[in-house]
Amino acid sequence: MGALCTAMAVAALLALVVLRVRAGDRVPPLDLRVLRGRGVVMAAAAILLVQTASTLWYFTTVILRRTYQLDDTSIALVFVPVQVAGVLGGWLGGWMMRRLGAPLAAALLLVPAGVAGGSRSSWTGPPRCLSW
Amino acid sequence: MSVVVTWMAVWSLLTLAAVGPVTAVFMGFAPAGGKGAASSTRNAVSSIGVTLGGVVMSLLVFAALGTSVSSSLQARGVPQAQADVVGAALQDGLRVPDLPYVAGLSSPGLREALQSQGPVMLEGRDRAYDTSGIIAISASMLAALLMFGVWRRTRRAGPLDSAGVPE
Repeated sequence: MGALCTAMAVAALLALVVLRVRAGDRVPPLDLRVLRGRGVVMAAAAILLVQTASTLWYFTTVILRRTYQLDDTSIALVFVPVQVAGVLGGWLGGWMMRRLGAPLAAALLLVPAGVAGGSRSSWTGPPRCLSW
Repeated sequence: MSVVVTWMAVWSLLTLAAVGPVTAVFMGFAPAGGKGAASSTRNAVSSIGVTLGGVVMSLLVFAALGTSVSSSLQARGVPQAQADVVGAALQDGLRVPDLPYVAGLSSPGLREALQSQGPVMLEGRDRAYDTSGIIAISASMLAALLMFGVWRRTRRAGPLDSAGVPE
């Protein structure tokens, strides 16, 4: 299954590259000329990494089901306060962005977000990750 | 359970708080009249991130699960060859209840050791969950470093507009 997913992801990337080359100087449906300059590439990479970290949500639902034996409805209900917190997060992000600027606000928020994500092991058992 | 919900809420708050500024940074680089193209590209990059993230996370998490279970079985006296077969089967996504039926698994006590709520599987599961957390924190820290880099580059670019993006 892992090999199949990897193959699909690589095929999708190859298809993207081929389409981009074939488009030549014409304006393609997906205009990748936006990605010119080191700054925008760094921002794009940050978006990619944030989405990568967000796949932890999937494993969180697995933990809720396997470890806490929650059914589908209970898992959905658990996410209600979580989504409310997300709304507050949107407000916090906007507030920090206006005061610090978007790049610094993003950097300062991603650090505790990463720590929070990594600390998940503390509620599924002893944090053995520190002793690996 | 309240600990779990609190953790999820804090993580959700911080993650979604960061998404807005990251998006603003990306859109801030869009050329005049190119906001639509930039938005499409941002969505494409985001989708690629979800895809690659899912692949990388799953590969590493299931690898950690297989390795942990294989090691635990060997520590309990199961021959290495059979423990490796179990580890590889788990990495390939085989369901735990189906493991005893994998060809070649005949070691005494193996079936008991592979109980879904037994210590071997629980230890492997925790190791797998730890791995997912390590990947998440690594990706977030790398993204933070990139944003610090953008901040250093744009700090000299002049005043910020009302959205906090360099003009």
